[in-house]
Amino acid sequence: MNDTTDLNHTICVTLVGNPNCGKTSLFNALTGLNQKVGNFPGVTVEKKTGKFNLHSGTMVYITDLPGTYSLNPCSEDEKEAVNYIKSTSSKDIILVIADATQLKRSLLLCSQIIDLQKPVVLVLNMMDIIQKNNIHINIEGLSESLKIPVIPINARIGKGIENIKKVLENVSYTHKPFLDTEQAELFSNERIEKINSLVSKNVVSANQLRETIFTQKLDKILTHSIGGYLSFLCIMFLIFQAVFSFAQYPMEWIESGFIYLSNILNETIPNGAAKDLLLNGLLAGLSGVFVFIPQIAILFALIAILEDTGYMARISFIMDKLLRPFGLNGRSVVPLLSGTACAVPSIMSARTIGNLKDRLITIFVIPLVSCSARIPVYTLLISLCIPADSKVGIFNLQGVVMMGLYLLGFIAALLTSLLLKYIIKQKIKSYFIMEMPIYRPPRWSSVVMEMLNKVKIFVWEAGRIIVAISIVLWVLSSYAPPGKFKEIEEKHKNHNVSDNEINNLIASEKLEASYAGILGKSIEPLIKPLGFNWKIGIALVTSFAAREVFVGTMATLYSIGDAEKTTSIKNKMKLAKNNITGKEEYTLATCMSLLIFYAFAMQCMATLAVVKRETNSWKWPILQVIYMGLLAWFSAFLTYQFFV
Amino acid sequence: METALSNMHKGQTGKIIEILDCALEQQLVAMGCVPGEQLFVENFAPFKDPIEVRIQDQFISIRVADAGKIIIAI
Repeated sequence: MNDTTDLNHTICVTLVGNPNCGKTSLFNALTGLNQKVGNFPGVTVEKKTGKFNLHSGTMVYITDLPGTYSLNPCSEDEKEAVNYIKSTSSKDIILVIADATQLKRSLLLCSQIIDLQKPVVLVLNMMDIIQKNNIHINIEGLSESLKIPVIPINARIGKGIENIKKVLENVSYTHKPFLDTEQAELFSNERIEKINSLVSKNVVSANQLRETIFTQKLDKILTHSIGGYLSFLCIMFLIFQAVFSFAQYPMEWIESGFIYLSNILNETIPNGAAKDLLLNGLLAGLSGVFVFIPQIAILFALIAILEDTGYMARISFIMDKLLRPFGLNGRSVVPLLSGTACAVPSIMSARTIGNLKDRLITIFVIPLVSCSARIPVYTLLISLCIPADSKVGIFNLQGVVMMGLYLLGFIAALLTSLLLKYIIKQKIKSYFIMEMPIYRPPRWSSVVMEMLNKVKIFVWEAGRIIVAISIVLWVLSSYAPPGKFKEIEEKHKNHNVSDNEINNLIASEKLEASYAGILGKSIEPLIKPLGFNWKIGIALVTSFAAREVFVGTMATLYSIGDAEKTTSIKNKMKLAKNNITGKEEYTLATCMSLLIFYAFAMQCMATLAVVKRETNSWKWPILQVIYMGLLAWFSAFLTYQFFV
Repeated sequence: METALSNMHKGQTGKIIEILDCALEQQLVAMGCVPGEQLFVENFAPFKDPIEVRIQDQFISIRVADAGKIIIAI
């Protein structure tokens, strides 16, 4: 060790590269678990930072930028990456990672960055594929011509990482631009010719890539006009199976874990407002967040696999033409379909849509797709108004109605896109040009990382909102104008208080008298035309945080302490009679109208929060609330009039 | 003979002469689709749109409407 080495010495490194070149693998290999996912200030583009040590003890802070093809940005992601590169200090090292099998393209970006007069280190990734295909790249020659260090690696297995660390110990800026001209244009013919000659001088290719042949063969099926759609349907079917059936078990564990926890707390903490807030406000909110983690984790792992293997580009390829008339593009397919699990991660996954207008439209319509939080509501209401044994032909009517609701969601989403296509104006022209990567096995470590990151974002972004709103709703439903609760308690004083029935009755009457109850009653004139009573009004108010809260609220309103027993809520609701007319409250018309209302209304604070974050303005979430609210009201109104 | 990429058939080869739209050119060039390069029409999506072309060892999907602005010498 020489004496100039300072243990406190730190350097900053920025990781730049084309999309799909192994940037994330390299980032993971360098930093391990020492990484943080954040955002660029003010925008929605993800920024990952991490740190690691060099052998001399120097601490390296590394920032992973979104993939970009050139310094001329086309998408939101690229714009942030380019701005970031330009804003780095002249001492910061830019680590350009290149897909060695796509050297020309990578050198374009690399040469543009060299011309920004920054210290650059070039890393050539996927050297395994290069060697397997008998291609030889003259690393020294390349380094000499570019006047920068060039390091061959294989990020997938972590080969060459040590070399990067060695090189980072002493990088000096050579002040040697790629193009000598004063005004180095990003895409001048001069630049392209120089790159072409560099590549032909330093790369000797022996034979055609084997992967290419395999890809062509597979594409014969996967992009075939019949086989393509069939295989797409099969793969989607498998994904939904995985999301809905595999996620069921961990979801149950999480739920029973929370029940267990709340039982323990119930016994150990003395009664009072604080305990009530903890159990019914905070804990209820948290369990509402955590219960979605399995679905989100599975969905994002599968999306990461689709993306990593190269199949995602094929989905976009075969679906683009079908979605174009609706103002969407091929990239919108997966976010829209993922909306059936949860709108929150789906809206986040719409980031891959380069075209801003298409992306906005996709984000706007995703919440119309029936998500899994609607399932408990659908199940309860369908079982309430449709007998289990009724059939349409050979099909179970309950199932048909359920499927109809999903179809309705998709149709509404597509028609809304069509509408927005004519409304949203676009300033910058953008094209749907997409690389079709060769098929390759997924990199499991990056799949896992991607999954963990998305779960982290969900818990933090959506979780905060859900917990906050749960607490607000708890306050609204646990407090009443002064004296009201006392009156109720007085009224039932003579009864035996330990009696469960009476306790439930008190709980129900308290909810009615609470601020939430007042709110529910005050919106009654508004929802009466839809066939809803004030109890449904309260449930609409409380389920503004999350739709599934509807079931729990109904359980309380119809005075059943235990929210688990859906069948008994169902029976109680079935028996509910209107005090004045003496008729059934939950007729077919009311249930149908309520189903339609839940299919369309924007009752999800988490989604609104994520839309705000992704579009960086409150304009879009507010528009969504208004648009979906009106759509829900009018559709429910028409449905009620039709069935009544 | 010169023609637009949108008029080419599957399996045809040509050389990119010119890209008529400046913004389109920037995006294509960034992906390696540069005037002077050989181009091969690899595949069409169902419904004949988009087109998949091959330039060097990479495959790029381009909508037919945009392909109309790419002039090819066959």
